[in-house]
Amino acid sequence: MEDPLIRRAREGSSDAFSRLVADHQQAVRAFVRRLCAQPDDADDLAQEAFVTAWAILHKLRDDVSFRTFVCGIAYRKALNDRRRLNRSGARDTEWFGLQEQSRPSTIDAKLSVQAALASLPLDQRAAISLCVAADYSHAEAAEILGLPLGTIKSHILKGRAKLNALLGVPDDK
Amino acid sequence: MPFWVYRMTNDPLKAMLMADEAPAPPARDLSFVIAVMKRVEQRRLYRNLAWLVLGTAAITALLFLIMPYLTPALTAVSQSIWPLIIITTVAGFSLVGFESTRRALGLRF
Repeated sequence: MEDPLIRRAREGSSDAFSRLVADHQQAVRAFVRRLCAQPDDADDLAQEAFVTAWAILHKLRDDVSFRTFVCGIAYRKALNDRRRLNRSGARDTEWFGLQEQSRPSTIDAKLSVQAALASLPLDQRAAISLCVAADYSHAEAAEILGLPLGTIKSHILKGRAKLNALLGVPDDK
Repeated sequence: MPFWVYRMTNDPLKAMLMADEAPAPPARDLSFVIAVMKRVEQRRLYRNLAWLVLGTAAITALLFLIMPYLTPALTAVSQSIWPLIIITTVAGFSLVGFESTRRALGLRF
């Protein structure tokens, strides 16, 4: 059954949409902050995701939650931003620098959680952020990231192994 | 957080990620909601303006095409029906004005 708030927002109610934003901003921003290095960039991206969600609210299916819908939009925006930055070439140096830095050759190389997450490829980082750091199901993560369920599980396994190594957590799972 | 705290949970990595302060935005953040709604209203304004410009351009183009044929006919007819045109125009403006005022004041009839 359709959420009354979503129905009203679809009919053009700004009040209903602002309530949807207020209800879901924490989950969406927490997810986006794990995707982006800077919290300000993350909030900007989260705002853009909500605005895009407003513009294409008619595409939201009944079997998908609003949170999943907005997180999916935010993920695609983050992916596009990453591609654009990679094309510009300016970030390549920074990215490769980070890759070098994140090798867990010694105990001293242990990174903060944010830096360790940043060293993962975006799809693995997103899968870990959703299913390990938050309590999204694998099916929800698959819907958000637009990937098959098997790929999500594989990303989580690989990402978890890499993070455990980077953060010095014994891999007992 | 010391390492032994991670070991107390079933999933140390999950504990570590959830304990990380940086990704935790507040549960209620009015400034964020206002910022989003500001962008939404801007987008709505641009979209409405785009439709208005498009509609005006379409009507202008249509009039440009049909006016050479319509003008002689209108001139001929208007000689006999000008009182009706004035009455209809005044009634139309009155209705639009009444409806705008009713909406602005939130009145229901």
